[in-house]
Amino acid sequence: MNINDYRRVMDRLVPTPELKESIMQKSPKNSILARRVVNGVLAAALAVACLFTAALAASPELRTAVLSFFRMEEREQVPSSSTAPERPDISQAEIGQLVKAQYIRMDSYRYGFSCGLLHDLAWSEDRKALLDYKFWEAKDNELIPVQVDMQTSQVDITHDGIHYLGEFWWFIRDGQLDFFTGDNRAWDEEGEHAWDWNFSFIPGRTDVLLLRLSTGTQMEYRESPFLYHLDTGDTEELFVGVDPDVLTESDGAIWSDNFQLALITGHASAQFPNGREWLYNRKTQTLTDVRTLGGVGADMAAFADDNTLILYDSGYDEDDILQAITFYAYDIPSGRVTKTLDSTPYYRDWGEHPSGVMTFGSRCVLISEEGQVQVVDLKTGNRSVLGGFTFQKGDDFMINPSGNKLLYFSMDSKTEGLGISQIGVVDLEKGIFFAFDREGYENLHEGGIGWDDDNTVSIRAHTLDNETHYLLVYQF
Amino acid sequence: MNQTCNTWQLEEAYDACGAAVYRLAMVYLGRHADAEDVTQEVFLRLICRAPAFTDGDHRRRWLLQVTANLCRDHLRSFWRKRVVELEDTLPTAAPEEREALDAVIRLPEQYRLPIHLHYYEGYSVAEIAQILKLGQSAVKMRLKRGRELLKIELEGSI
Repeated sequence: MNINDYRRVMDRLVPTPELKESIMQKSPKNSILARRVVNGVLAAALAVACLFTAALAASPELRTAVLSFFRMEEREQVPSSSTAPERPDISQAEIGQLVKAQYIRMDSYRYGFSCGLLHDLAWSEDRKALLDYKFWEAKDNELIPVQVDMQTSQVDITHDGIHYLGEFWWFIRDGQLDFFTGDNRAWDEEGEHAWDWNFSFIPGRTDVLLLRLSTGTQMEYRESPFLYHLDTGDTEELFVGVDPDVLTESDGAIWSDNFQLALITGHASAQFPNGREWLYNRKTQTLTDVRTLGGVGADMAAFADDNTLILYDSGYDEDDILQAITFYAYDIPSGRVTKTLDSTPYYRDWGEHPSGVMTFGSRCVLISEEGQVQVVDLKTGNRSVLGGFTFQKGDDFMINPSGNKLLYFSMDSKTEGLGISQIGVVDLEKGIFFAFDREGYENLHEGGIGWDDDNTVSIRAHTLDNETHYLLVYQF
Repeated sequence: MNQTCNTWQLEEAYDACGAAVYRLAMVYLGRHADAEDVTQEVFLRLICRAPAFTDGDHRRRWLLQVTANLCRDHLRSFWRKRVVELEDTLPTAAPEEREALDAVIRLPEQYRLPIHLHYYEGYSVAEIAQILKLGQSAVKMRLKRGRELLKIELEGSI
């Protein structure tokens, strides 16, 4: 067989134009998988609020506050020099005395940024061993090399007949824990991906990490959580006493701040096509099906705080596509349930449904058909109206880890990448909402935006010729 | 850091990688309708679950990885035959080209994707290992065995 014949025939093999049209209209098939995708979005949103809780005071009566939108006069000049530096360098700008921006320019995308430090890690070829590392702290107009007290620890645990083994690296600096793991996947005799281990942070803790042992991928993904004690290397099983049938269905868990309660998520099945969730109490080792909580038939939940769940009662259309959600606050000690937002259409995107509700765990953003925006506290039902602001095509929101600030950004469809033309923050505690325009963003390919911590947003980008990489860091 | 994917990014991603996703699904499943279903699922995942990509190549690898996983799930589902037959969807292909495609499609499942990713997409062993979540030695072995089965006239060695 001549391989060029294969290449030529593959070149002829192209999808029909109708497929693109169908994808752009995002009309998912009536399948378990498709529904799990929607659930996945919600679950991800719920996860934010479960690990971190909002700090607004509850009020016995519903309140509506108005946050006036302030569009700053000052504009950001986005850097876009395509001259790649030999080593990372930094420049900075202050935007309207409200936002400090730092622009880190790099010759490669291998650099990372965590715990306020830029890092360059060198891994072994199989990515199982950390061979070398460099850290820099961004101070004013300088990247200052920083020495960290890097520790090496080992995961060595047998669970469910599988031996999870490997090293990881961590340090504590200025009271913050950071860790690095390589490729922890293991392979079965046929060379297939069989199992994996990894860590998550536990908010406020620098002595332990959440160790997640997993098997399988995609729909067969299963996960079991353990506490990993950094000083001893000891592990502690977190799902003691849980029904084995539930564990075999579990693909993850969401924890309360005090780590005493967990929402265990289960994969979709023929009987439960949208998956299942259980509330687990570590102290009493009891398990409750979320569908039974408060008698409202909710299919999903999120932690508002250590004593309160937000219950999501989702409504699906005849194709089992999520259409609307009703929200309830559920007081765990008393079992009291309060409806905080009645059935509201689910927002997908501008093209499909430009109004409705975006969920962020214990808060949601409510967009009216006219583009008016309210942020709803789903525990209290209190609302914050974003006055003087109209939600438009390309706009989006993203909540910070503590749930007290919303990142606002607007994307320009004419550019490559995200093309972020405007950035701002809704500070729900201070009651302010401001944003600034950006100039020169079209000269970069912006690949991602997100919160690094409660006050820091960063954008990953590279020049259009792909020669120079940027990390744009904003302190709000 | 999570990435937000909106309509125009979806279109840009589809224009850049849609055909590659579809071709990989065709190689795996052999049926146009199945390949389209999987392609649709892959881009739904891009909308909802995409990580922050470092560049276009990273995005392409991620899309092909998801395609491979979904195809595997699809093949494991009921009503699928173990041996995939190629539908007659290539009216203009020359006989030798058609034969080449048939030969790859008729390969056992484990050899099909490494062969396609290496000889058509041009990925290295390490990249294929990453995409298919296999060990590099497993990829090398599958390429070797696949080549033997196909009797490929090699242009170069791996």
